[in-house]
Amino acid sequence: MAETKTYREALREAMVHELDNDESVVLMGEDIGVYGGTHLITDGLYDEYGPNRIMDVPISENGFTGAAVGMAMMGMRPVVEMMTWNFSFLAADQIIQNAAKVRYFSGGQVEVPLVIRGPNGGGVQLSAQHTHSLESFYGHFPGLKVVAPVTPNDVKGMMLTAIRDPNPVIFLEAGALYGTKGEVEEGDNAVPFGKARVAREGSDVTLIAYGRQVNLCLRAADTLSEDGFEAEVIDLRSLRPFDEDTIVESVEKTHRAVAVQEQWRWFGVASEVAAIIQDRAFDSLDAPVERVSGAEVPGPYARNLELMAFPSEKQVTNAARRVLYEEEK
Amino acid sequence: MPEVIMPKMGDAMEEGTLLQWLKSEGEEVSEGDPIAEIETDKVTMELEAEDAGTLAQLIASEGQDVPVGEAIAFIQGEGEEVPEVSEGGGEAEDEAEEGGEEDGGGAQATATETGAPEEEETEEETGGQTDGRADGHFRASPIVRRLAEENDLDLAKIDGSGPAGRIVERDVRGAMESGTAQRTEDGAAQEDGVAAPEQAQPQQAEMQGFQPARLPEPTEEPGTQLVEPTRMMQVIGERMTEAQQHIPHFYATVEVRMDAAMALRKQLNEQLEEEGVKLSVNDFVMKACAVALRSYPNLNALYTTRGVELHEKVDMAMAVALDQGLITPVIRDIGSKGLAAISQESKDLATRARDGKLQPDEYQGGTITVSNMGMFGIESFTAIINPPQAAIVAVSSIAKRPDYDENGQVVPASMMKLTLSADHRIANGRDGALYMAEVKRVLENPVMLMV
Repeated sequence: MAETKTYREALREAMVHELDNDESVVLMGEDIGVYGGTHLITDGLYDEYGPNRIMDVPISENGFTGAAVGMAMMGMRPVVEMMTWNFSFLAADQIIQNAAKVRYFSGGQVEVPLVIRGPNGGGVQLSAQHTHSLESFYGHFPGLKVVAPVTPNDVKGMMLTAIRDPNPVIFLEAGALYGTKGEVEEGDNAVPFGKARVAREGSDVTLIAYGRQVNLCLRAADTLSEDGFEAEVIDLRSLRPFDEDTIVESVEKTHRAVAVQEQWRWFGVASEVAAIIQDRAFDSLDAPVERVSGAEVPGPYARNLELMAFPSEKQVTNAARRVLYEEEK
Repeated sequence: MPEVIMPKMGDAMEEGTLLQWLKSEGEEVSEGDPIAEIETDKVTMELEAEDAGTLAQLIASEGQDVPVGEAIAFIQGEGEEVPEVSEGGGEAEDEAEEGGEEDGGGAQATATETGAPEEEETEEETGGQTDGRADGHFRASPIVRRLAEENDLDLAKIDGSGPAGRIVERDVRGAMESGTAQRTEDGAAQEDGVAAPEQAQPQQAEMQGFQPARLPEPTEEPGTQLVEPTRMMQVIGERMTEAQQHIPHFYATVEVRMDAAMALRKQLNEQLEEEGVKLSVNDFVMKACAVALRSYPNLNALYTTRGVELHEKVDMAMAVALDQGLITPVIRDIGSKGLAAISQESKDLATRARDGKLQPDEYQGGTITVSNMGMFGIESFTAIINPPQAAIVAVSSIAKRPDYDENGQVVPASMMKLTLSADHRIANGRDGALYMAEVKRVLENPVMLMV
């Protein structure tokens, strides 16, 4: 059974599912209770579950994240909302120094079953300080799991998996897509981490992305198809753990790859993808792996500049044409 | 703006070496001005400007190997701007198809032979910038290398359409469909610079006539001198290595009593003296070899990608030694020509070969080869087949020997040994033996040469 739901509804459904199933699950965040959440993700939950399960917290990211780490260490399963991931810089010390390392420090005796979630990425004119894609930032640290679902079904299924995971999970939501709809499986549709999704099958070039850029790649694939090139689109979904096999198998079939990311080019996920491909599928490559990334500038506010600073469909199709040794358009 | 491209001077030519610029950048040139000296595997030529203007940009550097059809310079007319140098081989390649045929938009420069007497090669490895294979290493994508290995393809036969001449998958797929890139044991050595010595690694990229990795370093001791192989020496070396290693040669020698032929030659030469014709022994041998092919046509054949191509007409290649190598100009349809015509043509070809003035179409093709070392007093030798041909006949000297006449009496006789080298894939020993017996019969009954 599947029903059409928005990304927001699917996300809420997963948290409700776990609130109902597991008493140790609590939601924490700024304005998530009485106000219903800045992005209305938790709208209505306060009335249903009360202030002990749906906790409004002060504007103090380091403080409430630290509290959540402690709660998780004591056996609770807190799901912390960052109003946007941009604010997590304030909590980075708790996330990186404690959440990611306590299990290691304690020789495995103390787990930190913590989920930190919130909208990631830009594209909605929030300017430089509110425009970050933090997957490579958090993906860099051992001890953290990092996921970035793009479909309503995946956001639900991966939130279920995240809450059940005994380790801290950085849950990067496609903030610009909260209102987008898609079919969502009923009930427990837990999606495992470390397994990419083939969003579109193709034989000529592999486009690899995650989060919002997956949709960009799907549009680019349609455009390429008009020219007779069938692109395979891979949605990574999970960045740590990372599904190398799906990429390698695809490139072994297509012989060409383009990695797309919203974040800046340097030290990004796309670079990691390119490295993995050259490492494991070198003899299948017909062209160097292309990377399409955001422009190397702080996120601009002006709409025209913002559009230019983000990967465009044209950039993706042209990168694909380059690896196909075709004329750019 | 007119591009000056590396002209295609023959079917087998894939690249040429830019020996020397005769004009410098920024210099005014008129139509017909020699602007550069170019060396192919066979000859050295001057490249003439086909347009007037300023020599705007010298793309190729001296000593660089440039693929056919690729731009080496631009001639800037009034008010024109210098274009960006295109990296890819794509556009240039289309022109390469047209070769040096000067059909309007294509080649903008023609090569004329000037018989540049010395081949002062500067064979440097500077060429790699614009060419996928200039230094003997191929630019090819990993999947191309894998496909080539799995399908036994010869990357040297595939033109790269990617940037900087990189061979990419579609090039290989195309070649696989057309079957043009099979690594064959036949006469594929028509290609330049691709012969594969046995010691070589399977990777085509490693293949070149001289392989630094496998050869000793020069001792550089006193009393030694290091001579770099010329382009022609390299090509000969590569082709002969290829032929010797890939063609299963067999040999058949006959001894021909040449008295009758010599007598006829003397008689004819007396008659033809006024016309300035002097028939050589080799003219008789070549004609005899052609006449005998009428009975054994399967030796007049080429070993091709799709089977043995039998030729009706005999285009006879004759080996001509040069100071710096060897070339085989071709007497076309020799079977239809008389001895006098053959004599004149062979002398002309040999003279111009030594002067470096042959046109490419004069030394390409050929369906069988005759190689004569008789003038050096050689008693007998075997020759390496000139691929993709089926056979070569090695002609030795004529020597006086005692022989028996019909009555069993010992008489002096002029004897000459002919040794056939034939491709066992095309002919068997019996074919070769019967053919040589027929050559012998014709030469010993030289009246047969008249029919």
